[in-house]
Amino acid sequence: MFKRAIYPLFLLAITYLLFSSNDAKTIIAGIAIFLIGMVFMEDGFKLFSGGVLEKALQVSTNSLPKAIGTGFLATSIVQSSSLISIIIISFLSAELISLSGAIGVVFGSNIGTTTTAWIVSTFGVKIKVAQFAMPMLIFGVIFRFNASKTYQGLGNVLVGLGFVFLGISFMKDGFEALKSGLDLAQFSIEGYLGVLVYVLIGAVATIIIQSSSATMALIITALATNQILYFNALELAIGANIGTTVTAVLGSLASNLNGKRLAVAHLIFNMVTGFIAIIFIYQLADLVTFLALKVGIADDDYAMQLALFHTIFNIIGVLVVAPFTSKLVKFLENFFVDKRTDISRAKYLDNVVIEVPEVAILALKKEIVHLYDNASEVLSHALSLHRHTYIGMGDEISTVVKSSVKKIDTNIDEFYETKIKSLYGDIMNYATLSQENMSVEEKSKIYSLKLACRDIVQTIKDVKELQKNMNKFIKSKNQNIKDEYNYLRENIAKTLDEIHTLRNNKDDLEVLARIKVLQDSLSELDMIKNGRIDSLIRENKIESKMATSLINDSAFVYNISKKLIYIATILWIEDRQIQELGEE
Amino acid sequence: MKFEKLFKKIEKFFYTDKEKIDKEKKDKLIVLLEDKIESIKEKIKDSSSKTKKEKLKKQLNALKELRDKM
Repeated sequence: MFKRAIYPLFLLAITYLLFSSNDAKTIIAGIAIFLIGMVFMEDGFKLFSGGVLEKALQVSTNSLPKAIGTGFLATSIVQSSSLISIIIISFLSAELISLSGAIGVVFGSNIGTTTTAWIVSTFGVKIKVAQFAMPMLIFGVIFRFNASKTYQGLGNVLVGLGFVFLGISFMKDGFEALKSGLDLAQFSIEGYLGVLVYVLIGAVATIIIQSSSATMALIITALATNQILYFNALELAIGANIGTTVTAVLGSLASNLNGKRLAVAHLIFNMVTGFIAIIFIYQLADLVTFLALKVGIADDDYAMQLALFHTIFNIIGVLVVAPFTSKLVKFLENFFVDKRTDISRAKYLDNVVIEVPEVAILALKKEIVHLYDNASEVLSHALSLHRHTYIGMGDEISTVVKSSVKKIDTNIDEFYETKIKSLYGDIMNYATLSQENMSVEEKSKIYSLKLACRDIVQTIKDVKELQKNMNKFIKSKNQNIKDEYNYLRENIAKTLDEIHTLRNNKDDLEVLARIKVLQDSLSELDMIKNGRIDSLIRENKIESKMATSLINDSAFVYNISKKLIYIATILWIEDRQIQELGEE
Repeated sequence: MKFEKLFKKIEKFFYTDKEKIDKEKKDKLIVLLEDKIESIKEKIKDSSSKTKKEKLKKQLNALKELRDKM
């Protein structure tokens, strides 16, 4: 109710401001243009990075200092801590990095985000950035029309930067014009009351604008045009740092357990940092003045001093909180406990990362492997086999199959309801939604993944049919039919075993060769074509009823094996071109 | 004349020759397949186990078949 009422009120307030003051209109337009620039830059880096950013983040987070450094560098380059957070949450969900590594990246990202303040205070308010904005926009738009994804990404980044610069220019013009009519500096409040009021204003402004970078740009331009006092600007910057965590926490509501853990880590970090900055604000301001003199920042260059303050208090925050990372990890893991239910649901699909194609595909793949693992369990049980008894046994599988005839009490329908159906639904839903921002090539990957997913489910339906006769014939007194059904069981077990071996192989061509061998062996299952059935009937080894059952069931086994091979091709061959060779 | 060259360069920049890219990719893959075939041949030579040799031979034939199809 409150949320529903606040939005129209917000719109009304903006409309009032737009019509009541031309200067306010220019400032608000500046914020809007700045924000749209940030969106373009983020989209650009999503396309431009082409997986490089993801790989860098994945391999350089194995120690806390490395993770902090990576978070700092990545955010400084990309200029978007939210994009880094999205990628990190997805890696955390996919268990590619540890929670402490992810927290390290968030720490570093907080320092990295302060580079925006440096850019605005060095270029934004000192030179006429609008002049640079125009060529950036023009070349950016031209590059966006290029067929190459890299150029499209570069185009988006340039358009984004152009809009960011244009937005800063608008804000600056607005504040300069406003100065002649209304001096906001007269509202300054001194003492700790002022500190709290301005911190609150900074936080609320960031929650409304949903971007600490935009708030910082606004604060710096207001400071550069003397609309606010330097001290109040410091307080607003602290507020912006606190406000940005509210955005992160709100964003994490739609996220999974890992997303929530990371958002709370971010909240704790920024709260602690903000608290320290509020208590020691006077000492920090003195430190900034001292350091500014040392690094050659002019006495009256308050914009750059603010950028320095922003960086220093974030570095202090990291120095204070980082030693407690392992305790923080323990606390978060105990606070957000995975409530396991009997029903298997998606573990790796996160709505926050759905907009980053590369990461969404990675999450989907992980989840389909999860579905496959559930399915291979039910397939094995349906064949009266336990995976630990035959996986890795190679040529011994035949003996294991012959000795395992005791029926395993698995209700396939119940298993399907609890371990497959919901998970299958989650995957299909996510795959469909994730396609919206994808290129043709990426959509084709999703299509193959959907087919693999469908095949996993189909194998369970096929094995259910197979189970009916199999349980009867593997205990038959007729040794011939018993042997035939054991041969069918052995075939699926061998396929599952081979897939288990090849899934850890990173050499795509070797995986392809193994898959091709599996495909070649499929022909042995066509009992009519290879004459196996004929000889069994001719030699009176089996009855005609047994023969028809065997023909039908061998067809089920053929289908199951064929589908398993296709699934392995899609899931465990990375290179698309090599994958296509396997699909042929 | 100069403009003509410039336009051609611009056209080249914006136009992606899909056929050429596909051919380059295919050639690269054939080279990779050849390398793999050679490495499997080496493995067969070095292997002392009969079963392993059989398995490798099957893989070798599968890859040879793929290469010939390309």
